[in-house]
Formats: sequence, structure tokens, C-alpha cells
Amino acid sequence: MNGGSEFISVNPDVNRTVITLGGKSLLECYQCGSCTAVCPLSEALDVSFRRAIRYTQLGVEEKILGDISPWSCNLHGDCTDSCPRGASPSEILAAIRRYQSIKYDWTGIAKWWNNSSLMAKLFVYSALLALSLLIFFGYYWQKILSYASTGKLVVFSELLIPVAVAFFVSLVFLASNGYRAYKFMSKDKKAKIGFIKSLRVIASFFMKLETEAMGVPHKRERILEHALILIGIGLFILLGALYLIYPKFFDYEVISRALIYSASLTLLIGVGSPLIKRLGSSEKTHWYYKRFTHSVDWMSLLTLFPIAVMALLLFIFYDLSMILYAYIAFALLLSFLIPFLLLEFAFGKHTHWLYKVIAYYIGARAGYFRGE
Amino acid sequence: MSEPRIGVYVCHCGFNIAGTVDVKKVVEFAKNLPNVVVAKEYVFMCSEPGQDLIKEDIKANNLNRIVVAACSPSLHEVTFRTAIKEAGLNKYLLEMANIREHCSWVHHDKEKATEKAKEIVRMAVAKARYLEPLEELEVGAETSALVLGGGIAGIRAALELANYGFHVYLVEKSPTIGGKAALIGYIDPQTKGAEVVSKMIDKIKECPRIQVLTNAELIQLGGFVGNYNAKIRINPRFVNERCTLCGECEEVCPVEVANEYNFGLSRRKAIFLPFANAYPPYYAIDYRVCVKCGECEKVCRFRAINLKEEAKILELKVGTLIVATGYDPYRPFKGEYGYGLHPNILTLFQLERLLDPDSPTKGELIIGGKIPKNIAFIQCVGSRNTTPGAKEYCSRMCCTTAINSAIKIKERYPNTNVYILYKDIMTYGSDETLYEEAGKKLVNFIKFEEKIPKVLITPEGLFIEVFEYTIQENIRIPVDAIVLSIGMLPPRDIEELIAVTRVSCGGEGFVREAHLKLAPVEAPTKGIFLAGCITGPKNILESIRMGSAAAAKAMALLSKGKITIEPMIAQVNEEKCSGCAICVGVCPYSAISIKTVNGDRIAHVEKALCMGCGTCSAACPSGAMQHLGFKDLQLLAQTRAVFGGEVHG
Amino acid sequence: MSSVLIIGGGVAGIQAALDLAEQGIEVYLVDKAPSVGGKMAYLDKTFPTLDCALCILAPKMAALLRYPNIKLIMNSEVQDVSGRAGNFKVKILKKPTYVDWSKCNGCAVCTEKCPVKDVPNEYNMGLSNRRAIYIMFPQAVPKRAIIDAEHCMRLNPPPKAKEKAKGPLCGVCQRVCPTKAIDYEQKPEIIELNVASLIIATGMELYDPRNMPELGYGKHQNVYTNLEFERLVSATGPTNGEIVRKSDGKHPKKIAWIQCVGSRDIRFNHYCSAYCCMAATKQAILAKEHLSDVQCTIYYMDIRAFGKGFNEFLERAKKEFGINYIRGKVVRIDEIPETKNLKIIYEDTAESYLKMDEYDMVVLSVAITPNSKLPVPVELTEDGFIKMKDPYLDPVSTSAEGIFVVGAVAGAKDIPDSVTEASAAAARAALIAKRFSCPTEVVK
Repeated sequence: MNGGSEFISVNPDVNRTVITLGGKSLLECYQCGSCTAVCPLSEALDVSFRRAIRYTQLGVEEKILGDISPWSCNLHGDCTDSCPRGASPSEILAAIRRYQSIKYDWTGIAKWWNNSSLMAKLFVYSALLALSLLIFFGYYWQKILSYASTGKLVVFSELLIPVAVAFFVSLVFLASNGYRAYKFMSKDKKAKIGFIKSLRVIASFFMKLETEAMGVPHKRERILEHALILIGIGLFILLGALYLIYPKFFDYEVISRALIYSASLTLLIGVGSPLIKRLGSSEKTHWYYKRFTHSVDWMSLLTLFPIAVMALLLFIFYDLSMILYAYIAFALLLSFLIPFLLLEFAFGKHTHWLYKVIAYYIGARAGYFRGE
Repeated sequence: MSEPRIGVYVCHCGFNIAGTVDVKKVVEFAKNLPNVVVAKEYVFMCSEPGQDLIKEDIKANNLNRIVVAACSPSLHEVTFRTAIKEAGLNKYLLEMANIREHCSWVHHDKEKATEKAKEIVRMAVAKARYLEPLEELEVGAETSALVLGGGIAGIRAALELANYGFHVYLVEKSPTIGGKAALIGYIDPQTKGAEVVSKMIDKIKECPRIQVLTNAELIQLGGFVGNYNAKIRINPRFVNERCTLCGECEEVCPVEVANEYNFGLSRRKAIFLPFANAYPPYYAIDYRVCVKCGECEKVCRFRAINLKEEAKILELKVGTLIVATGYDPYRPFKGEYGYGLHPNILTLFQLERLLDPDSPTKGELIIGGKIPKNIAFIQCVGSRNTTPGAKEYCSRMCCTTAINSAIKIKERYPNTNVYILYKDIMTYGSDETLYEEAGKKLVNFIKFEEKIPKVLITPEGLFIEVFEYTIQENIRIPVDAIVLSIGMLPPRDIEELIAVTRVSCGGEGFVREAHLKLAPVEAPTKGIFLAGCITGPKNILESIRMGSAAAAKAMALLSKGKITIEPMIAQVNEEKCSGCAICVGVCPYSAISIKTVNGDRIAHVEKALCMGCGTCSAACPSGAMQHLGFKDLQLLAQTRAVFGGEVHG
Repeated sequence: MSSVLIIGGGVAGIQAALDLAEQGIEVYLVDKAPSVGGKMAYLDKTFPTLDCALCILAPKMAALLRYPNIKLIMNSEVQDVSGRAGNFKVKILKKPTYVDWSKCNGCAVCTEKCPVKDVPNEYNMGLSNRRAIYIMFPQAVPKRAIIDAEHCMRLNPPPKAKEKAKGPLCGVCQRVCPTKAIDYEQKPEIIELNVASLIIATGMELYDPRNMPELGYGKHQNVYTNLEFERLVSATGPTNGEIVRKSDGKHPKKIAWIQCVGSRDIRFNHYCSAYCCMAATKQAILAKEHLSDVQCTIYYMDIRAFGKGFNEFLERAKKEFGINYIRGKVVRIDEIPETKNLKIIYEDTAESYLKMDEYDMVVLSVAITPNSKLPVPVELTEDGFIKMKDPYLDPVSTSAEGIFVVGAVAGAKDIPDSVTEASAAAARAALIAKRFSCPTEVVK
């Protein structure tokens, strides 16, 4: 940049972009550092959220893109509670993450996803959904009927091909964007410790952090919701893997049913609970649910919710021996999965797991964790 | 004078003195000194019981000299003088022995400090033996005031005094009153400088007790407090009150110079009207640049122009002087942050002027022909040691002014990016809300420390390179315009002011007040008061209040119509004086003159003018000039008390 | 001749009283404390000249007594103000002092003999004790004793002792008083005054740092407010000027000052308190002068060195005294149980990560809050200061005509600005009191 000069050019438009991405109070920050100092992460991790905010205020692009601190934020919200300017650092950091995701993505879809209105997103989502529905209830309809007539639930079949394709495509996007993110974030950061040690450091850090956070009611609530979503998805992946590797497991009906239902219910509750809180406007609801109302946040829940519902319905119908209905639910589940994978999973808020893992890994490797 | 009967009173000042000096020993020592009748100690001599102790002793022991060993006479001499006066003694029969500032505070060794305190007391007692009663003088005082400087501080002081009943001469060196505040677009987010000033001018106009003298300078100040003789030179304006502001003269005038009322943003003619609401409301000819071509005189239909007008000298008698001559904006040198090298680099004052509706751009932010997309303010230009020619002090008003302007710009041009490069944001007190507001209005702040920003002028445009303190990175900002937030300098003609009025100057170049904390509007010379930025940078509100405050001091001084003069001044022994006039030359207050009495040349001291500095008595070769309260006899007694020897007198 | 009432006997009130009295105007000076002096009387030194605060203030306080036309009404509060410019009716509640001040001569014998010895001394911010009968501070003006009824054995005897005793308890002060000034029967008194004008100079209080529990004030022994520290370094303070820790009486080796405690923070007060940066700098210098090996660090966000001589003072503090300045807001103070040392948590904004520094003493530069809750019909600003109606054209005037406001109750400010305002108010109140009129500014 700048023909090798040691001065970094600032882009005066970055702050406006981040403000429209939800960081409304970006320029209200007067750089006191309270956010960094109150953050439960900071004691163990050498990051400065304040500096991330300053980078963004100024528009020092290359520094913003290489900064791991926005990704290390776990939205505990202590900073927002104690900001002397009444700015909301957690919201600003969320907006910075959106900005970073846009820049990490080479396709431009993330840019559209983060900047478009909720209606526009819903429209494109619906279009993709319609296409999926057409595939499953048109192209595959005869197939489904014939499967249904066997009275059994055949999970792995050609029905999965479109989903697999969507999944593969989204993985390609994710991998390429992840690689770009890795490049941005690892620039100028020397590796100090090895891979395995890095993972250990991160694991022990998270254990401690989450244990501490569980002591605070409003944090516990959010950690649990997030954990439910993670566990739900995790259980589904586990069940799928079991089905592939050891199908006999499903003969232990009690255990497998228990697992199946808990997977669906955890996911449903994990997604439904924050959705309901966001929709409601109770006095008691923590500001977190009221503030994080960017359309991207909505989409992350809205796209996951029907999937959770359909998964649950699928097994209920199956257990009620309503095989055709079970198949219809299954087809719907798959139909919802395709736009989810292609949009939300590859470009939406859900990408944060990838960038977060990269950021934490780079941080750990570069020795940002203290005492290691 | 009867035999001296001295009382010595040693103060503990809590632990201030008693912590280092053994007060009891000093008292015992004092008891044995010649002529000492009583010696006592008390924890706080200045407190009421302490004073009562002295008063009772004076009556009981028939004391006629008092020595108080305590703090500096500058603090409590008045207190004790009043006390002994109440006990029926002449108040000048008091001698203070400073055993705090001169002893206990500066020493640690208790024994030695006690010895020193004893010596100080011994000296004071020695001098006290020769003290004489002195009487204060009272002279009449004029209830009129000369206010120097027609800015807001001066105007405020003039209004206050006139309302109180004083006759006020408001002397302004430029052709209009109003000062710099009149030129500032917005002095706070809701208030226009020009509006405030014109409202104040309206009040002046209606006030018959205020005489406004523009184009005028104080060239000589004689006399003394309550009775100053001021000589004012009124430079020719060449335009009189027949002027109707038609403006035809301006069109024909061939001379064009930079318009200082627009801070150089535009040009004006030699004949000009400073600004729309200027007062007096007539055109003026700038005598320094006019070529006397006579074109204006020809074109003026109202015969308002007279190019033959000459400077006039006016002699006024006034009771007090209020100095409110303000400040000069800092003058950046050519190339300081690119100043003078690029049309889009301007000063804060120029920007403020631009935002005024009466400005060359009619209040629009047009710099270099267009509205800038990115504009940056650089703070501390000329202040806080930032730049090579900078002053050490903070100019106090520039942060708030810059932020105020930034908010205005953001309100009117939301698409313009505004940067403020600062060291520390000085929005003290309630001005902090402006800083808060600026954040909400998306003003961007950049902090720098020792490494100052660099302005790059390139073919691609202007850039600022700065080491941002809070991210510790070198950054480069593309900008379209740069505003240098220049600070304040002492006015250019402060040397002349000092020469004429004998006010004194502090290290930073502004006028020194009598006490930085507790006498902020008083000059060390009695009868001269200070208002506005002449004592150092201030904002407009602070200057206005200082105007009122200076007026209050003048009221307090002159309201009785008479002035008391300290008797500790020079006195001539006419028998001894040979009329050599050495004293005349050394007197810094021109208080001494040579008079012929019965054919003999004899020095004469004008009592009201003498400030009691003692220079003349030191210079007098014959010992004829004596300083009352510090006569040779008294001082020699004091020195001999330490160094030994006899006193004859 | 009309008179002027000044509410508040701090440095601003004193200055206004002197300026008015010099013009021959009758002045009433009311203060809720038993002595004039206000907050400045608590200070050890003043910035930037390092003048001894009371040494420069005391002559002004003493001067009040020299004017027969100044009436001091101490230990009193204004209860009601009615009427309008030129003719205000003021009701003042004079609380009992239980000492006849016309007889008391301030000899302080009673304050040495009083058996109640454990009353926290307000003048030393509770860092030392006083008796139940006391003189506020040695240089008090007027120097008069006052009985603190709540702690007095006679006026508020402990229930048990009361049961046992037959007659009235104690009475020591009455017995020892050489002028027979003690009067246990004194009752509150209402004073009614007619004045032409009022000047409000009630100043400020310190914001209570207990509102920020994370800073541990009141919980951690070695965390002080800046006014407490001021008393601690003062020669007339609880330790005679020796800086020692509350926990163990030892000299601190490292002291930290934390700026903007309750100021510039929308959760507490939006405004900047204007005095604290320079006060902390001054206190750090004083600490260095008292203990040469002490390390002083000031945690700040912007150093506000705006006044005359301030920036020069700041430069001196850095260069000559080696005071450290670190830019970062301290968010938490933890006490280390074993040593009672303090760990302060903040982000160093130059180094961009969280830091924890250990100190053995921490001083909080707390915000000021205005003493503006008064029964006077004036408007307040959003921040609770008394509003100046039109500061440009009608300086130091409140929303009520004839009532003026000066000093910190009109906005955070330092001593010279308060003094200037006081004189300004004296000018404006004098106009009303003397009823001079000019065609321009006719006093309605």
C-alpha cells in the first residue's frame, strides 16, 4: 500500500459504512479503553476492542481486516453496560465483524447480504426456497411417494443430492473466504506456539471464560441459548455420522429416539427463545435482544428456525407412523436447508464460527493469550 | 516619643512554625531583648483570640510597639495593623518578623531554625524601637473611568460602570468597537458573535455616560489612582457622522488591501466599513494605506469626507483605568503546517469568519471554490509547545471553538468528513457536552502527542500524516481543507501598553495580575484593572465576566469619591537635600520633581504618585531622601542587630 | 441603602461580600457551616503557584470582620425567598450552636476538655476525630465554638447513661468556659431579611464515589478521595502532613490518581469537573515533596491544562518531578487482601491492552456536584447547575431578576474564575442595591 510508505492511508468512508452496518455509536467513543478493561476476555487475551473501534473510526482498513479482537468478542455486553459515553461497543464490534466479513468474502454476496434490507433478503431467500420446493415437490415427488410406500424413513438417498451440492458450494465459498480471512489476520503476526498447544490454550481459555460468565444471569441465558443451538446442530451431525458408520445404533430405539428428540428440541429452543425475546418487548428483556436487531441477526435465526421445526415434525410424524407426512416434513427440511446453506451458512452471520476459529487460532499461535 | 515598650507575639501557625521552630525558646529569648515588656506565644496569632491577646496587652502593659513573629507581612500585616489600631495604637507601630516563609518552611533542623527565628525576632525588635507613627493620606478621586479596548470585555466593563454612574471613556484603536467576537460566526451552537456584539453596541449607543473614542490610543498616563491624566491620540478617520453608508466612495477607491476584518479572506479598499454593525456606523479611511487621491471626497454627496483631518490629542482626567486590549491570534509562519502555501489551509479565525452569514461566502463553507469533502482541524497550533514557534501555554478557547465549528459544519454539510487532530481535548466544565455532541454528529478525533502532524501538499491534493497515539500507527489522511486552530498571543502593542500604563508582564507575555488566584482582575498597581484576554487566553463568556468584575473593583475603589494613600513612601529632609536630582532620574513612577524653595533646589515627592519602592532613598547621596517605615535609622538598627555595632540616632 | 444577601461563604461568596462592602453596601453572608472559607479552606496548596491555600484565603476571611457592614450569619440555611428585585424577603433558619457567640472568644478551652472524643472531624474528611464541642478549624472566621448536639453527652445523652443519671449529664464545657458562653437551651431561630439582591455562591460538594462500587471506595482502606488526600498532605490535617496509609500507617511507595471519577461519564455526570486534572497534578507534586522516593502516576483521558500557568505547571510536573501520566480510564480497583495494596485495572491506550498495576495508595479525582437545591426560584440546567439566563448580555444573572449566581454552583470551575464571577456579581448586585439607572439598563 502507498508505494511502500510506512504511512497507512485512511479511507474516510469506512466509518459511515460501519455505522450503516449497525455500529451507530461508532464515533461517540472517546477512546477511554473502558471496554477493553471491563471485558472478561482481556485478562487472558491481549486484545484491544478500543483500538479496533479507533481503527474503524479512522478507516485504517488493513488494520481493521487483520484485527482479531472483533472476532474474539463473545457479546457478554459488559462494555456496553460500562461505556462512559453510552456508546455500545458490543454493537460496534458486531458491525465491525460485518464489515470484516464483507471484506473477507471475494464474491460480493456477503456485501449484499449485510447491506440489503430484511425484505430483500427474505425475497431472495424465498426465491431460493421456491426453487428447492420445486425440486423436492416436483422433480423428486414420485420418488418421495415411492419411499413413503416402504413405510421406512430412508434418510440417505438421492434426495440429499441437491443439499449435498448446496453444502459443497457453500463449503467452497467458506473455505476460500476463510483462507482470505486467515491471510488478513495472520499478516504481521509471528507464530510462537504450535498447533496442538494453540488448541489447548483456546480450550482452557473458553472453559474458564464460560464458567465465569455462567455466574451472571443475563449472560447465562445467552450462553445457554447459544449452546443449545450448537448442541442441536452437533447432535444432528453426530446422528448423521452414526447412521453412516453404525446404522445398528438406531435399533436401540430408546436411546436413539432420545437423542433424536433432544437434538430437535434443543435446536428449536435455542433458536426459538431468542426469536421470541426479540419479537416481544418486555421490560425485563436484556438490552442485548433489543439492540442487536440488524437484519443479519434476524436472518440467522429466521433461516434456522424452520429447519428446527421441520426436524422435529419429521420425527413426530415418523413415530406416529404418518410416513407420508414424515416425508413431506423431510422434504421441507431439505428445502429450507438449501437456501440456508447457500446464503446464511456461506455468507451470513453463521460464518462467524469459521472466522472466530481462525481468529482464536491465530491469536493463540501468535501468543496473544497471556500466561502461556 | 516616649520610651519604647515593646510586645512580642510569636505565632505557632499550627505546626507550620511550631513544627520546626521551638516557639517557647523564641519567646523566652524575646523577653530578654531591650525594651521588650511582654513576649507571648499563641497557636494562631491571626485568629480572633490571638488578636485579642495583643489588644489586651497593649492596654494592660501600656505597650507602644508591637512585633508579631509569624508569616509574611503580605498576608497578615493588615490584620495586625487593624488590631493594634483598635487598641488605640497608631497602626504603623507594628513590625512583622517573618519566621514562617523565611525560616520554618525552608529549614528542617529544629535547633538551627530556632536560632534563626530568634535572630529574625531580634532584628524586628531592634527596628521596632525606632518605629514612628505614620498617618494615611486621603485625596479626592474622579468617578470616571478610562476603558482601554473596545472588545466585549471592555464594552461590558464600560456598560457596568456607566450604569453605576461613572463617566466612561471607551478607547479603541481600530475604527469600530466590537473586537474579535463580532467577527466570529458562532460563539456557541445557537449564538452568533455578531448578534451578541451588536446588542451590546446598541446598549452603548443609548448610554450617554459612555463616550466612545475609536481610532484612538492612550499615549500617556500621568497622575495617580483616582486622579489619572490620560492623553489620548485620536487618529484621523477622515469620515464624519454625515456618512450615510451609501458605499459610493468604496467603489472609486483605488487602494486595495487584505481585509483584516475577514482575517484576510477577502480584500477591502482604503476606505471601508469594517463590518455590517460597526460602531460608530460610518466609513473609515485607513490612514496607513490611503494615498490621498481624493476620489472618495469627490464622489461623496454628503460631504462626509475630509482628507485634511489631522490627529487630535485629547486630555482626560479619570479615576481609574481598565485595560481590556485583548489578544492577537497566533501568527503561523509561512510553511507552518503548510500555512500560506496552499489556499485551502486556513486558520480557525478564518473558518469562523467563513461561517458568519456576513462573510465573503455568505456563511457557506466554500474553500478553494468548493465545499470540502474532508476537512481537518489541527489543534494546538502555536500553543502547548506543539510547533517550533509555539507558546507553552494552552490557549483555552481553541478546542471548544474548533468542536463548535465542526458541529456546525456537520449540521450543514453532513457529507463532509470532519477530523480534529488534538493533543488533549480541553472542553472543560459544561463544554464537555459539546465534545459529546460532536461524537454524535460524526466528528472524527485523532490524537497525537510529541510527534506533530505533517501537512503534505501534493499534486493529488492535501494530505496529513500523523502518528495516531491511541493506535500507535502512522496514518495518512486525504483532506481537501485544513484548519489550523491557532491560539492566542499577547497583543502586538503590549510593549507600548506596558510603557504607558506601567502594568507588568508575566513570563508568558500577557499582563500579570495582582494575584493569579485571588486577584485575577487587578493589576499590581492600585487603580488599574484588567479584563479579558490581556491577562491570558480566555473564552468569550469569561472575558465578559471579567469586564463586569473589573468594573466592580473600580466601583469599590472610587465609590467613596476619595482614595487613601499609604504613608510608607519617600520623604525629603529639606535641610539635607542638595537638589542633585539623582532621585528624579531613578524614580520609576515620575513622582519626584525638583522645586525651588527660597532659592534652593529641593526634591519634592508627589505623595499620591509615590509607590514606596525605595529606589530614591537608596540612590540619595546625602541621606536626605528617607523612606517612611524604612528609614536608614530603622534599617541600620535591624542590620546591626545581626551583625553587631552601635546605632546612633 | 439597600442590602445584598450572599448565600455561601466560600471564596466566591467572600469576594462578592468584600467587593460590595467596600462600596458601602450592607451585606449578609449566610453559610451552613460554622465558619466561612468553603471548600478552599480544606485545601493544602493551590495550583499552579503552590500557594498555601489557607494562607492566601485567611486574609480575605479576616477582612470580612473589618467591615461593619458585613453581617455573617453562620450555621444557617436559607429557607424561603419571595419578592422581587429590589425587595426580596428572605427567611433564614439559624440552627442552634449552643454557644452564645457574642460571648465566645474562641479560646478553645472547651474543645480540649470535652469528654466526647470520637466524633469524626468533618474538616479532616473524617480522617481524624474531634470533640462534641469544637471549632471548625483553627483559622475559622468567626472563630467560635459550636456544639454538635447529636454527639453531645448533655444534649443527646446515651440512653443507658440517661437512665442512671439523676440530673443533666456532663456539662463540662459550661464549667470550663471562661466567658460563660455555653447555652444548652439555645433554640433554632428564624431571621427575616429584606434585601435588594441575592448572590448565590453555594459552590459544590464532591460526588460520592460509592456510586461506583467497582472502585472500592469505602471498602478498600487505602482508596482516598482527592479532598481526603488534600487533608492528608496538609500540615493542619489529621497526620500533620505526613502521608500514611489508613491500613498500616506506613508511607506509600506508589500512589495513583484516577481522573474523571464521576465526571465525563453519562452514567454519572456529563460535564467535566474542570479542577481535577490540575488538582491531581498538584497533589502528585506535593506527594513528591513530602516523600521524595514516592512514585506518582496519574491516569487520565485528556489532561485539561487550560488555565493561566496550567500547562507550564503540567510540564514541570512531568519534567522536574517525574510524575507519570498514563492515558486510560481505570474501571476497577481490587484490594490485595494480604498487603491491602490496590490493583487497578485499565487499558493503557498507548499500548492497547489491559493492564493491572499495583499501588499502595489510590486517590480518586472525584467529580463535583452543585449545591443547587435551594429554596430560591431559579432555573437549573440539565446537569443540575444553576442556569445563567443570558451569559452574554446579562452576565452572572439567573432566571430570576436580581438574583445572581457565581462560582461552582453555576458550572464546574476553578478558583480564579469563581473569584472573577464573584466580583462580576458584586458589580451587578450593586447596581440593583444602589438603584442607579441608565437609560439603557433601567432596573425595572
